[in-house]
Amino acid sequence: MEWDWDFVWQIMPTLIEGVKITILATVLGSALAAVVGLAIALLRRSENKAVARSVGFAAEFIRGTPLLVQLYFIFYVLPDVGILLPPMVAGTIGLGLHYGTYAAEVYRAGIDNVPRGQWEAAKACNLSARQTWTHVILPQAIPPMIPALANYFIAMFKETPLLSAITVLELMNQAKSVANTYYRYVEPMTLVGAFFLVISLCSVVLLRWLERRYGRVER
Amino acid sequence: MKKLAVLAGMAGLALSTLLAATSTGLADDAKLEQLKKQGFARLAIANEPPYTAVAADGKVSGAAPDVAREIFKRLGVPDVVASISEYGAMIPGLQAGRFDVITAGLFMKPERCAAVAYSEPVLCDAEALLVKKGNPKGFKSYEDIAKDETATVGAPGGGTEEKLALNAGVPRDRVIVVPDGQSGLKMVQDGRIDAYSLPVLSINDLMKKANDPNLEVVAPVVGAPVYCDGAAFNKNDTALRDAFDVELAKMKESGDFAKIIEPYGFSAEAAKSTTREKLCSAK
Amino acid sequence: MTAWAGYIELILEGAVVTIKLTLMGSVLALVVAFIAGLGRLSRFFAVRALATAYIEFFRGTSIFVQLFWVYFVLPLFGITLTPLQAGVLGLGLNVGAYAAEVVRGAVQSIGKEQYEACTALNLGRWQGMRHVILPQAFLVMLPTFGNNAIELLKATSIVSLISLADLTFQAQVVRSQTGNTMVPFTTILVIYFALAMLITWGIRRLERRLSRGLDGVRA
Repeated sequence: MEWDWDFVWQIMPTLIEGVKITILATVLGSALAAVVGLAIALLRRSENKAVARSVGFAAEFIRGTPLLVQLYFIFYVLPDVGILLPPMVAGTIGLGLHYGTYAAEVYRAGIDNVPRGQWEAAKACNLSARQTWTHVILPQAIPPMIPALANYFIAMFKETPLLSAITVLELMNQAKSVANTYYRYVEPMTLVGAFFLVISLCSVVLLRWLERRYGRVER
Repeated sequence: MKKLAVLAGMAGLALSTLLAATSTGLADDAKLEQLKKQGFARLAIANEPPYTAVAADGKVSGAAPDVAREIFKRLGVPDVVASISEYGAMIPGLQAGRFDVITAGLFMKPERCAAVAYSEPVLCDAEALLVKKGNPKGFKSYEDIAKDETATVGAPGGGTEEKLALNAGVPRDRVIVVPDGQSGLKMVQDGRIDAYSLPVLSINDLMKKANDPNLEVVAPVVGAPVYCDGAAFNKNDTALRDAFDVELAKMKESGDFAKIIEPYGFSAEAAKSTTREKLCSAK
Repeated sequence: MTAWAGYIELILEGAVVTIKLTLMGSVLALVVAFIAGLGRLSRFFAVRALATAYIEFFRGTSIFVQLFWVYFVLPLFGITLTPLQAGVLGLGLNVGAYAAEVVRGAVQSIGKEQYEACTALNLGRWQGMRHVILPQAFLVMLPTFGNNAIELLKATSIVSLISLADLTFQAQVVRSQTGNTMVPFTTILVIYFALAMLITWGIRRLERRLSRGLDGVRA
């Protein structure tokens, strides 16, 4: 099986279209995961035991089951109860929820790492719970988490090909469609791998920079 | 340069870990002998009743595998095993030696005839569209879908219908690649796509199972010809294909062929009335 | 209604394939994790470079892409693997790359004094590793290995896309036979979660067993 460079240039524009969607899905999914993660982390600390427990269980469940099946579920089962989401939205929600549960662990560790003295000082200054969180705890907790969060977002990027299973035309789906049209698998599949490798290596450089900037976090 | 080194490292690693190389496409009768020796032939199917189906107990049935099973038995290969595959992955899979033959309602078209070695025609069918009750957008052909700028059509990736829609001028972003029949049906029900296209008998089978009064079938699609599939072999296995054809012709003659496919709703006459040569040169 | 018994059997068959893949993949991952993880700490540049290349390559490209590549492209170069072999190889090498970093991190986390003690006892490099460092490091690795095993379990769902009859694949078959989407997908989500819980529980027990008698030794 020989490698055909002409074919590579011919399919490149189609694949680049796919890369754009892949990156868009990663960015949207990351934003959602960052928010969902914070919500889960805060709810798990809730005074209300029932809330804390059920959120904890839900997060465990999402983390223990495959993203692919969750995507199928969001896309094909939710319409039965009247929730009809376009493929891209369903994909973003799937990625965001799944990685939100991972992000929640990062937030938890970050919040736990804020020294006790800070909480006590906030109390001594007579800050309300809300003020304590927004002005004292989170500003200290979040920067050290950034590298760990970024690490999960890179992991999410590598799971975006799963969106092809719910008809999102991302990189993998574009490559499959090209392969189906020309009955050639070598070039499209290898190029998809190369795209992922290049983007991942670039993001590793970014990650190193974040680690230097915000302090080293074990990954 | 770094990437190259990484690739080389990976290749070396892979090669040293694996040693299970098999040759694809043996010369002449060697392939049939090999199948006889291993006792089974590997089929690619699509799980799209009535063409191909997997029963509750995991048994493979459907018109195409049933014909292949009978012919292989007559050729001295006692059994067939099937793996379910997407349409688009079938020809690459055949070329990659994943299967010995595709029996999945993969219709003969000139560009496919160039990529694989087809047997004589087996199953013939026209194309159909699955739409909401009353056909609200009034689709009769793929061209109708192309003209309506908001209309979307679903089809299996790499299947005949996808290409028919694209050739009729429906832009790529309005031809939605749907992984399987059940998903396609669901997407029409949910209003995600306006029409879902498959061969007539497949759509009818889906409809029967869904039993949904809010759906309707448009068949046959105007302007889409009747296609026939054949068993598709690797280009290097023409000897096996020829042996297959001989038995197929005998079965068509004796009426055994009709006995297998007609209960599924296919017409044996349609398959007999045309040839591979005609279908492969059709425009 | 009798058909349901058949469908349940199909799903259970799928569960067996999923479990098999998880076990075999984990074994392969464990082996390559130690080879590559210790390789990164080697004195020889060539070994370090090879290990790093392996780790970065498999962490950098998506598991989905790797599986497709092994399944569809490798055969074109004359290497044909059964779907099961392809699945185990893809999953094992991918998760092994992540676990290799865990091995490296754990070995590096062992205090300097332990290495000095090895030297004082006149242990060779390998002897010290085998009898002093690894037994302690292994305990550090275990919890993360557990998480890696769950990641592997979840990743097995992707093999359904290369026509291996695992849980997710069988759920799709049941779905296309019955026209029901909700029941098969919900069932397999629960099964996946139960398997993940089983892994967590098993690792926790193993951890407790191995740490027996080590109280006070660990910092």
